[in-house]
Amino acid sequence: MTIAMSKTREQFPLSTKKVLKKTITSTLVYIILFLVIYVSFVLIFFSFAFSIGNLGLITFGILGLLMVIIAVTYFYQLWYYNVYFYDLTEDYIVIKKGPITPHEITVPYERVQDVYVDQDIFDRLFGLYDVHLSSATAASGESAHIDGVEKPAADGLRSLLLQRVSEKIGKNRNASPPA
Amino acid sequence: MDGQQTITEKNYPIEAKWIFKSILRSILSALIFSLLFFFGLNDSRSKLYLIIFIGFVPIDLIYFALRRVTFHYSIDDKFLLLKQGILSKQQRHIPYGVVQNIYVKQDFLDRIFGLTSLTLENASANQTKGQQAEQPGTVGFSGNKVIIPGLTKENAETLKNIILQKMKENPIVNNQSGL
Repeated sequence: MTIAMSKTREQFPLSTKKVLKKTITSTLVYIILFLVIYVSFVLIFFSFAFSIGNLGLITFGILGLLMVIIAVTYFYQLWYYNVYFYDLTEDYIVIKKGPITPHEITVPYERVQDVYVDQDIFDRLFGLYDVHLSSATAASGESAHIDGVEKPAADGLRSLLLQRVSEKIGKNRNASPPA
Repeated sequence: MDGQQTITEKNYPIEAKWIFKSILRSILSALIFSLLFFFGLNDSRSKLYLIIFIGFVPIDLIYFALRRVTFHYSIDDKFLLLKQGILSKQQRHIPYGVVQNIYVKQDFLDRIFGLTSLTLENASANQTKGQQAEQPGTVGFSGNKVIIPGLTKENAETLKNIILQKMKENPIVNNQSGL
């Protein structure tokens, strides 16, 4: 599958660890749920002393289902990673994501109100960073972010963004006639 | 098409397919909602609900068709002029300088029908928080959003570029008001 490359993505690549992190975070709830179910089954079997053959079947079924869920999630996340597109063009920031339901946002540099970098707990474990930017609307803050880049790329993206934004705003200010 | 003419919905129309997509979407959401109530009902009651659903289809058809024909946009020199409303008419002029960002997105049914929706946001109040699910058959403007659904992919891209170009030509002169 081809990766949606852009100049910016070549320069500041998404980390491949992102796929792993996303797979873990989105299957974590299933892993915990299935383990709880499994442990309770095991406890029931031992306390009532049923035949061991059934327990083997249940182990196989539960773990198998869990594996299928993890595999499906992994391939979906890989697909998501491959189609993740972001580009800092001359005038706009373009971010496009979503393999099945594509969602693209275009923000001109002049409208950027806020650039920030953050990490959640899994990001810290994997050494990943999320670069957020937002214009003056509430919805843009949630859809305009580049998540899962490593530290040099995060710093590079942030400084490039800030530099472009201040350039653009400065240019407009100088161009405006002193009314 | 000569360049002097202002671009309106006649150049980049909402496709007729969009009506069927909206009908399908409203039926699907109603069905999913009512599935919860179907359980435990006897056959005659279920049939009654089914008849009611089918009865809504022509009403939906008329409603969405009217929404489609009463929505007008035109890309003027300084303003994006929008008109909508079946019974109560609304008009809105949006200066290009205040458009904050542009979304191009496709949901699942859009993918099936081959449609794309274009959304503009400005920074006025009455924002719907986040990427709230749009109502079936959303068209036109409300709050800080202008939604032009049901475009073909090429038309949506072209329209996006035209509006981005207009935004570039009409920058915010003083950074506060945008007028």
